[in-house]
Amino acid sequence: MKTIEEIYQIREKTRKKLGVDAPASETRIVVGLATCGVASGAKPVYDAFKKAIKENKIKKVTVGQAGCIGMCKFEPLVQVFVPGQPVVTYVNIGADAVSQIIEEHILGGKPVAKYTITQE
Amino acid sequence: MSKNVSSVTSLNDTAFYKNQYRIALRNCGIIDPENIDEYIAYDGYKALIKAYSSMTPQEVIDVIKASGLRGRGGGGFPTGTKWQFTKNSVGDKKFVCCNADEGDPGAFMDRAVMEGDPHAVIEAMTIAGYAIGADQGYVYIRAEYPLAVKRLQIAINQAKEYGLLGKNILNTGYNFDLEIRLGSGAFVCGEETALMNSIEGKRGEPRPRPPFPAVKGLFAKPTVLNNVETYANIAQIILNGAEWFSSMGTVKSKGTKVFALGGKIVNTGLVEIPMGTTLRTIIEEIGGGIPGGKKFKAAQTGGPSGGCIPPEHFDIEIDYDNLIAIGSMMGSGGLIVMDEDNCMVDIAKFFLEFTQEESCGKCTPCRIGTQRLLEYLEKITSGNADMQDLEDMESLCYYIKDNALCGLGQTAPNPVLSTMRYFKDEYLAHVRDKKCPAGVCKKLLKFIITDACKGCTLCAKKCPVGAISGTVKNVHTIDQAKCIKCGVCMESCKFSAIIKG
Repeated sequence: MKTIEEIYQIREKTRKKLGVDAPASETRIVVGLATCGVASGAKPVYDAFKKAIKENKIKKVTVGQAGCIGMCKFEPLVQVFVPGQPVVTYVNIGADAVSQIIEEHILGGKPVAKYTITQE
Repeated sequence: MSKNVSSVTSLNDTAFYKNQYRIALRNCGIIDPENIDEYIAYDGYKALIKAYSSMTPQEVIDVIKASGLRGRGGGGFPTGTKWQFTKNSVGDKKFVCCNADEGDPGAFMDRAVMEGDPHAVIEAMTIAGYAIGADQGYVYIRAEYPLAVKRLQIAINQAKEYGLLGKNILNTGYNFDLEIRLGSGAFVCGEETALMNSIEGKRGEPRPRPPFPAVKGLFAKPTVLNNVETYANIAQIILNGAEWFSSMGTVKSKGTKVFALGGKIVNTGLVEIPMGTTLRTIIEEIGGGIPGGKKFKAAQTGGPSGGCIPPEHFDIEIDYDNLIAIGSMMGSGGLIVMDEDNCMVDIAKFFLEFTQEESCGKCTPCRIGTQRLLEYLEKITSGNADMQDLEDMESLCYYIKDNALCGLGQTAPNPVLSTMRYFKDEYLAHVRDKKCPAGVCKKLLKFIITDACKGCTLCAKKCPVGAISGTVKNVHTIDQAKCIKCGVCMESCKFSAIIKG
């Protein structure tokens, strides 16, 4: 059982980790994995990111999940939080896009424009 | 949206998100729902701690009352008042229940909250328990939502591990425990008394009210029952205050509402907008309009209990009372957009088929009434009805509304009444002219080959039943007796020579 004090400590620690108030120390890749995301094929994308990070022994990058972000037609959705940079949202992502995102964005520092939203 | 094609890197920059304001969905898509630490990071359980350490139960209720929060499940009853009634009721044991039996066709707001932010529900129910003096809660959730059930269970386990549920929460001396109860997807179990019967292990049938659940609810004890989205607002109200919440919305409807936007719309999705936003903003700006340049015909809100809103009310500010005034209702938040290709009689029939099948059968007006109503609609859509049938159907609608036992039956005729009110001409076309203007009702549909036919013979080759005859370079004809109205000929014609008549 935690005390109120410990809950506040968890809050501060996790805010740091997630980079809520100040840039985080790690890059986060977050895949939308609610029923809607899973139905449109987000699970293989999540697995592919996990595998790529592990196989390439990439340090300071975590792969996580989130619920529904609300925009059904763009599923599967992936958000990339690079510390100190604006969030990048990738849309309609398949597992085949993962290696390019890892290479150019996560390692190369340049978002892959063709997987972001293009609007008219 | 700007006219220039541009690439945006974050969803937050799209028109879809710019008009939204997220309270209930604040953490959805942001945090990991299976990690309690991330919920805590975004002020999770801070409201509970605030309530426990610096507010009396009455102060909690006063804040919820002052915020103007109303039930998001559809009824729109003031949440604070409901809590007050339950607090005031005498009982040795009280319960807090959550209605997560989201049954409206096309609605998925509650599922999104439970899959994306389950702790928000747990925290709010614990606060409700503190406010009314209950130490036990139940979440009634449909078994068709396996992922939501799984995440909610994980969240409950984590909260117990952290001492945020159970005995002596965070060493404050207060107790509150939470359990999940699975429903089997009966629509009537979203009705509060039927839901409680189902939790008790009885048949999911409504019971007459009064007594209301606040007096005699689950296991005959005073019970608070709120919807998932209602709970999702609670922690934020406690943290930010009643004034903050009531600064959003209209005079009688405060805060925001989540809508599941679907149907003939470019951006299908989950949107949370301040109360008082117009239908036009939702459909044209957030929803991106209707695909294919088609004409907007109606917006359906409130699911099988709601009604259709015609284009003349496109600029209405959406809130509980405005929607009821125009013959629809807020409902749990399904919003289905329809264009010129939708037949309004067929839409009414679709919802009646649903309620007729979901009627539990306990009371006669609903059991037999919905069946009779459906028969009228079938008669109309097959071209066999006369004007007397239309009149009889309308009076049957009012009879069912006045006499059914629970909300399911009392609202079941709404889709018929609202479409008759705004789209009477379509009913008349079906009854008098034996025509379906939208070309949906198959029995009234006729495909006709016009003089634009070049005699290419393509349609005759494509027709699966050989109903089209004609020779090369001569206008073809359709044998109406053989035609099964599949529409393949019309789709395949390169000269647009085939029309619906």
